[in-house]
Amino acid sequence: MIIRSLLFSCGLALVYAMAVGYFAVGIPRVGPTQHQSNIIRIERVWHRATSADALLVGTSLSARLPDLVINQQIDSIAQSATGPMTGLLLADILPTPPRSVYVEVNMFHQGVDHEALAYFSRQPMAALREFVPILRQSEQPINLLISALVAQHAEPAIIFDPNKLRFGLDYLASQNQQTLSVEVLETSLVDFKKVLTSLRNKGIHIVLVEFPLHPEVRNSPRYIQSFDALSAVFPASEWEWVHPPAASKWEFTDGLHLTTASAVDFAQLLLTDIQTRRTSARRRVNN
Amino acid sequence: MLFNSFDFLCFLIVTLGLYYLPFWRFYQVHVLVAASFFFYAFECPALLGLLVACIGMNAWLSFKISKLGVQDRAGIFRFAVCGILFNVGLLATFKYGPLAVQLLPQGKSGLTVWLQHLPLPIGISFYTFENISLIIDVFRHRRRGEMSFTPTAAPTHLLHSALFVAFFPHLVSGPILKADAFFPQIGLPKLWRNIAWSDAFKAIVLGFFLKTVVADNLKEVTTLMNYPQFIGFSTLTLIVLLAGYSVQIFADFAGYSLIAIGLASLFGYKLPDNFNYPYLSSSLGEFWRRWHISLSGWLRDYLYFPLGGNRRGRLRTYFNLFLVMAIGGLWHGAAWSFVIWGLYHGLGLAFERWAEERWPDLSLRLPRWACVATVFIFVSFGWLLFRLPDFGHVIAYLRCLATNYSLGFVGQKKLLILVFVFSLPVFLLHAFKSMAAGGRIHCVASTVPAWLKYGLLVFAILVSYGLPGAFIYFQF
Repeated sequence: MIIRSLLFSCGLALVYAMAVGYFAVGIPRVGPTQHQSNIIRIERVWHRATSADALLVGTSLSARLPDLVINQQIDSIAQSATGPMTGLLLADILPTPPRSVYVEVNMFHQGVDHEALAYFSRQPMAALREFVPILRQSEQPINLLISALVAQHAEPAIIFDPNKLRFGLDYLASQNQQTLSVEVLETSLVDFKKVLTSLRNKGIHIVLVEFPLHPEVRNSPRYIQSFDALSAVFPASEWEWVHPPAASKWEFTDGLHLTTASAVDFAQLLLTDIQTRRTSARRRVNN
Repeated sequence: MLFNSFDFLCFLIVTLGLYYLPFWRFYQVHVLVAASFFFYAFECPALLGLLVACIGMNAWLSFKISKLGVQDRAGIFRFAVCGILFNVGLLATFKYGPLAVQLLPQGKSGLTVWLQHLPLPIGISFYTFENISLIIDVFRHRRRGEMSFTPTAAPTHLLHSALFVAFFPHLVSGPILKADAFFPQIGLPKLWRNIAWSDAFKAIVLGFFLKTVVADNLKEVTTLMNYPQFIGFSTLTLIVLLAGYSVQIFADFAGYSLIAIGLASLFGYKLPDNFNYPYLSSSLGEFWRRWHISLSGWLRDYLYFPLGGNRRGRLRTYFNLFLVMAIGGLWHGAAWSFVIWGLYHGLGLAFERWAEERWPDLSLRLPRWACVATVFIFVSFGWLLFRLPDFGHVIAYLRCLATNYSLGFVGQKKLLILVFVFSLPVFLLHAFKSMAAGGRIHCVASTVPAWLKYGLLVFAILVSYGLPGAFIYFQF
């Protein structure tokens, strides 16, 4: 019975692999949940043979930048509901390392997604997924079904809603009045700098990106504290920064996340920055 | 070491190989004890010391009880009380110390700081209850003047006690064993040719399916139950999430228990069933005879019956139910929400008993499906206290359920599909059972050939596993 069961399951897996290869090639893979979307977004970069020119690492702030705009010049492994440290640790072990990493720093102290790290680093499953694509999250039947359903409908744009914004700001105000404990802040900064320095030592170009925040959030005690600490540890003289232009009028859904229209604007700004740095780097090389 | 890790697979193969080596047959118990200690120490070696000390102390106390004369009732009683106090004290210190600190007046004394920084040893709730079972079972046998079920030689007694408590399949999350049922299995030579491969395979495959396909995938959806993510959801979505969590917690724990049962049978040991289709229960009393059977059995035998059970009048019965369920709740974790969860079930059981006395034929008049649905709803609301540790968040969830009244799923269709698809196997499992009579949870009565069913399950594990997460009951 055991042998027969195993043989039967292997046969099914083979048929499934062929069916996926035949019917589901053109479906853009998305995850049914936020966490699985994160994993599938990383898988897209992870299993690519060529190295990314620039890689965006961050939280949901970066993950909300529209793929259509951002994917032209930069790969994104930004993940919702987890800190940028997860992406940095993954960038450190990417099979084909990127040339430059753009790091969203707004919530650098947010926790690490250990499940995602384990998924990509724990052997032998990580290696098996490299050679057997049906073992990947993106190829699972339910995820493929949801991807196919999503592909039929364009995702609705996230528009400005003053009530939602007020609710979000009130919630964030209750969270951000208290500053982070010095111990947590120092530990996070030390870990953050350690990973960034390690990437830099490998020859990867690091750019720190400050995403726009609603003024009420940006001026809350917690964000003033964390940005002051960041500027002290990563001075502009030693590290490259991208700051949002103060004059721009950003629209927010909840005080943290940009509406789709503003996200497109910020993505454009980021792409322009990438272009400028690339051109100046080329000039430096030519000179 | 997680059962669903590669490390564990290597550990299992090596242990099985050593265990069944022909010339080591007389050292099988030694091999298992050593392997179990290694398993426990793998993540945090420092905590092994506590486990070993605990085993040593309980083995010594139970050995002393077994060696005392039947006439020395006071001596037997004294050692038994010492044993129980030792175990309860240990659990209180390591598990409930931080909760006790909250109740103490503010101020940083050395004791409060020490209690706050104590680590929570993995599986302490499980192995402490097993140690209490060892002490009480030996005490009861001795008091009745029966032959002891434990070995007569001290070193063998220690070794068998160590295996009883530390046997790795059940060490961190049960099933909670009873000493007089497990000890007779120890010491008998186990042979490779006697392994019940088919039963072990079925239990392990179904266990992994429940854990990796059902529980791990539902976990991805039920994270939406975190505050404040659920605030904007409609009533119907919140109900679906709650039902999804009910299925998830069952699949997670029943999956673990089945894997433990399957692994133990590879080594020739039989562990008791821990779940018996709990969501088919038509009363709360029945639910507790089907859910986490080893814990409810432990609470019944070592707490409810000694307190007098239902033989000391109506009020005393209600009090006993409340007390036992509150302790059962507190056993799950050092937080008030677990106590409230226990009292919630205690209240439900007391009400059920009162209703049975008031309207004896009520259960006969009501359709069974209505009773099953009522119990499922009652139990599911109780799980909110498990899912949301902050009591304020539970209230917020209930408020949203009442105020976000809508039957719509706008923007949440994916969520509905996921909960439906991944809960379906558990509902089908229960449905098959309700249609077929008898059988254990992993022996689904059906005419479909076993190789086809289990082949499908293996295929599902391969291509539909969720992102691996720790077992929910590890935290207890």
